Amino acid sequence: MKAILGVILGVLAVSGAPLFLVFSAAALLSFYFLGINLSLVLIEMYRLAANPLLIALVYFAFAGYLLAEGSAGRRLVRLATALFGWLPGGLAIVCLVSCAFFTAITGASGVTIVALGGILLPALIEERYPENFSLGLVTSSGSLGLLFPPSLPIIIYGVVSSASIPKLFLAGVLPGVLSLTLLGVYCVYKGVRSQCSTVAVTFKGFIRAAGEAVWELLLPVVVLGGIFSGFLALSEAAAVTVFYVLVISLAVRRDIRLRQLPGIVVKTVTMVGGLIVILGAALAFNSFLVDQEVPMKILRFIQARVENRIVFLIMLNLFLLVVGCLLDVYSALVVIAPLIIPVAQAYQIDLLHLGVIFLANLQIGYSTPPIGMNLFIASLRFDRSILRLSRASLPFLAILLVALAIITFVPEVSLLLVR
Amino acid sequence: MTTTLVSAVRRADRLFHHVEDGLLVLLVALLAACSLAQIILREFFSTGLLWADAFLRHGVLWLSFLGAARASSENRHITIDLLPRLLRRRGRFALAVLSSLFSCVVCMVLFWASWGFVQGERLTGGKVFAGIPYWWVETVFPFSFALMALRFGGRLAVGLLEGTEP
Repeated sequence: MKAILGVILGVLAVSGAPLFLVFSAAALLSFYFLGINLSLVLIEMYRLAANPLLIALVYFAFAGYLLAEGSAGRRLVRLATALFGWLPGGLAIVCLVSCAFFTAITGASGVTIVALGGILLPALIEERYPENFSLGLVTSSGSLGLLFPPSLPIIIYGVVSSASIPKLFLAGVLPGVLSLTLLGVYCVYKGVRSQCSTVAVTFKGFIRAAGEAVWELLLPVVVLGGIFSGFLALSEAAAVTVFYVLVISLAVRRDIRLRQLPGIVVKTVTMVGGLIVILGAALAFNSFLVDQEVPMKILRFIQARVENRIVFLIMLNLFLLVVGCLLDVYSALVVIAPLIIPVAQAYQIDLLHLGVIFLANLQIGYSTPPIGMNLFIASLRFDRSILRLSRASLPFLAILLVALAIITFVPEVSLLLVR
Repeated sequence: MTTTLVSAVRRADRLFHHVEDGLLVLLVALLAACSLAQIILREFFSTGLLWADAFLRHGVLWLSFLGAARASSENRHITIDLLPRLLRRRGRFALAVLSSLFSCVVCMVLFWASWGFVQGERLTGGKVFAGIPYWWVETVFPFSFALMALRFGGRLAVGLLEGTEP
């Protein structure tokens, strides 16, 4: 009976039923079978209100949607061109850098491809980059800033694992830079081989572009400076970000009108609300799993079979890659991370390092079929089939896998800045 | 008959959207103002609002569940639509009906469970902040679950009547 219900829920989960209701149903059913009053599910969900960090998600997402709605993306592309345009493969590197920066400042909320892809893809093709290369680049760039602060998935991992979020932000920086560098090398190689033209760069042009993008460039300084100086807590830095972006877009740039704000608020709240209720339902279901000692059982099962840390890390990566293919990044974090964390700690894996491994894996999952958010968004945006886009992304995924291997087996890459 | 019913439901939903928009914008504005006030009070006046922390945490709770209710009306929940992508029109329709039905039923059960939860909290008492009892802020659960159940139910009914994917 229970097995059948589990299978039915699994089928519903991949049939487009809201995941938060699938998790809620799982929690309700498991409480019911344990003979516990169903209103206890609500007590678990109510624990959401005990968490002071969740508001940061709302603020960062709102700031991200505001930036995406305005013209920040275009200015960033111009600045990156003035910086890197002269390199062979310059425009491809421009694409990498501006996408990563934009993804980071918009909290990796999935707006990068929509906001930047439309500018970058035609430009790449015009400069004679092969079409498949260009499509793959733009598609896989949509999640490149995932490891940079203040990405929402990092915050979610921090909430779930109770690791320090500022430290997680620091831990993600070098691994993110590593992935970008490796991809950049590939872009240079492609640029040389396809004999793409480069852009002449002048110092004056660079100063002008930097001047135009100065408010966007200062944004990370405001956010990170506030957090790491100890001046602001995470949620306060997020609130300051909102006001900073509001002032810029409404008063300085004037690229957003006051009457657009309600629409952007509603968009933000539906996105973040959908995300937080998943966390709430997962809290309820996880409390059942903990009550049934499932994490302990998983730990014993794995410890009996995997004796060495290296083997465990390899298996963890394979597992997370599959998870990344099947689940969206948020569900993967709220459901899988609580189960894995105790196991990983038994193998002496640092909580921060584990977080970076999680995110690096899930970043790859963004562009892999069958459930890759980048693929869906790019397919809608560029009107290409998902199959074609996933084939075009393959070389980039291969490079990200190399980066993942380095990140996994050289913990120092993640932990150097933290120490 | 059915078309007038459908359009009446749609009109009511649209009207409610305006109320909802206003509520969400107001809530976000209040939260942001409260966060900013806290920073200014602390840094420049070395003081703070005692209730601000609880207000912010519960404000996010409200925002999340009201946002989820809104997402139910616009079909913007986080989902995995693997199976529907593999199927043809008829199969997609069947799955969409099934998942709306499932969503509606789960929301009804959640409504019922949260009703019991709020009743229980009413009896035990306790105040969150500024003299507001816990059960007041917790009414967001039954309210949003009822709204979600109605919306999923409405989508299901309209979909079945018009033969379109709910």
